[in-house]
Amino acid sequence: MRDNPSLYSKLINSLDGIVWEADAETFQFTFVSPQAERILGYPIQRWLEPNFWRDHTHPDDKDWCSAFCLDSTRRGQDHEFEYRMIAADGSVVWLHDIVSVKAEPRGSMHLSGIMLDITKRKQAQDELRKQTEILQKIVDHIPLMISFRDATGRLKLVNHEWERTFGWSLAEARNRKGDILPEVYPDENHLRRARDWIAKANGEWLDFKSKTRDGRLIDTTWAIVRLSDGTSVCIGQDITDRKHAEDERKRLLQRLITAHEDERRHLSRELHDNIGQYLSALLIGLESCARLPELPAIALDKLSYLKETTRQLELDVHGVALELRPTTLDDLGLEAALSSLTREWARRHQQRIKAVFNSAGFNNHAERLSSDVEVAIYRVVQEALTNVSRHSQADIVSVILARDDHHVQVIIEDDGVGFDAENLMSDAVENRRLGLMGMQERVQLVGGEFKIESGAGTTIVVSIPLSQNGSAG
Amino acid sequence: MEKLKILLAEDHRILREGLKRLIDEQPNMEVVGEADDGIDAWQKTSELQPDIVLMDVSMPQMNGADATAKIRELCPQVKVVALTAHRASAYLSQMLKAGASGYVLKQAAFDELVDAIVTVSRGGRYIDRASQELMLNTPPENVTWKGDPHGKPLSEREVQVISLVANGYTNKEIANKLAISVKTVESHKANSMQKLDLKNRAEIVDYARFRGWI
Repeated sequence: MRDNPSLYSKLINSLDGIVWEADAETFQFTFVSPQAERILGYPIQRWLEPNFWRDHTHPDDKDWCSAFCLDSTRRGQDHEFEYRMIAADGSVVWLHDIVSVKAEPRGSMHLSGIMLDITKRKQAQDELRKQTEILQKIVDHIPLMISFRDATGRLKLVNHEWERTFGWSLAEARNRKGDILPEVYPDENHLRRARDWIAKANGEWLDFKSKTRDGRLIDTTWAIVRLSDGTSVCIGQDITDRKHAEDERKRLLQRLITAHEDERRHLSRELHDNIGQYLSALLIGLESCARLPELPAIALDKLSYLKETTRQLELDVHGVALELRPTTLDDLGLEAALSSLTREWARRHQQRIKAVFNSAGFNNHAERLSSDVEVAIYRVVQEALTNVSRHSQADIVSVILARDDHHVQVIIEDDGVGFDAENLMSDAVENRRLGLMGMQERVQLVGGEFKIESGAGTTIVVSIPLSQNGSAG
Repeated sequence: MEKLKILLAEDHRILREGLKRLIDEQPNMEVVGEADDGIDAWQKTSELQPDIVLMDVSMPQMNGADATAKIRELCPQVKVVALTAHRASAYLSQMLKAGASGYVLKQAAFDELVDAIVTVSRGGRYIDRASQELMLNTPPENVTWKGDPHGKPLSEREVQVISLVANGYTNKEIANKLAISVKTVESHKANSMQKLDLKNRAEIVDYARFRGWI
């Protein structure tokens, strides 16, 4: 090739590497191709100076590189190796050096080779190694369960936390006949739910009851994402403790509410049955007095005034009792109580807002709803109606109550100005927000769902599942 | 003239005594017995066979409605006038359903109670003025869609939207389900309501029930 300089130079110039020749004893370059200047930044002249190579090799690589080359050269062996050189600007350049060793006719050795710039590849490898390490560290040490399933749903990998939580090792889990899922979710409904969730892979959390190897039931929550090759990555948490605390908090809150409601009921009864009755008796007594013979006109006047005052007092007492806790709710049930509430509310707002009530399904179900459910729904409707009268500027509001074997649902819808429900739920007007959050909390406490939507008017939908015996489940 | 025999069923003693005095003052009435709970009320009724029972709605052991039903079953000739502190129409309908012929609020003037006793003893019905007002001032128990023969037919989409509304879906849920915008749902809903002359969601529910969509 040396005989055809133009072809040779064309070839070496087109290579993205430094073609070189050097003395085998001193490693002094006798020739380097023009790329040398571009790759390391030193003029070609400098490359040809004595000791250039050794002087510009990375301090960590200097000794072994020299030793390795010397050794290979002595044995007349071609060799290749990767090492770092320091460029003119001080940066590190990774090189892959392919060296051929040839014996000259005179008996001395001649070295020639090509240095390829592999800095980018090294950096990429380094980056990949770092990323792999990060990922590996996360998978190994994060207190989250992680499992991988391939596109066909086969379990590929689980991390330590998964093994620790469930008590199955990866090998055991993979060797189960079929799949580990039925072991973890013995209940068919839960199993179906889990499979659906994996298929959906929407990255949101969903709570499950899972079984460990030793038969304990634990609460878990899972989020699943899908990779481009169809692999599902399932990320899970053991939330048994949190769930426990949450349940405890709910139970306490429900007890608090029940105690509060009991107190209100007691007060209401007291006002109604005791004070109210005394007032009725007082009224009758005054009536008796007024019937006494030969009363002077002034006495009759005074008695009539007293009667009027007593009547007003009695009305007020009943008003307060109604506000505290309507007797209809305890005596006659939710349907009657809501019907009364809507009527009474409509009567108060006669000039401004109409209210209509519609109920269904209560004739087919003789048994009452549980008291917690009845009270929760009643209070939500009460609060919603208060909001309608305060904020909505509505002409009409519908209260729709429906019950079937599995649910009781109430919808309160007005045709007013509406509001930005989503923002209100997050911040905005404090009192109203608290009111809505309170409604939501009450509904969730009895296991129900609270939805609010506002646009042209506002719609509140409360849906509470019923267990077999009619109470909230 | 024979006096009307009255049984007083009222658990509140002072009120009962006051009532007894006032009734006994009436030339044509006398209290023949007193009961202080629901069970006592029907037992004394079958024992004493009064013409009229004045029945408190809320009493211990057995409430006024159940006692009334029991009395109507055992002694159908005995008339019951409900006497109540409850200013709620639900109690009124409950008592009437149980078989009471009269309904008087304790806050009403005594003359009204006398009127009630006399009217009922002659086979009539009596509801005191305040309770009547309560019924008149408020809409009927359940609104019902009366049907509009001139209603324009709904489009297929409108039918879908309206029946989902009636089944308790929110606008946003309907929008998701039908893959249309919330605004479109709102306008389908408004158009259908206008076509059918439905004024509110309660009427939509009734209409849907009438159509068998629920």
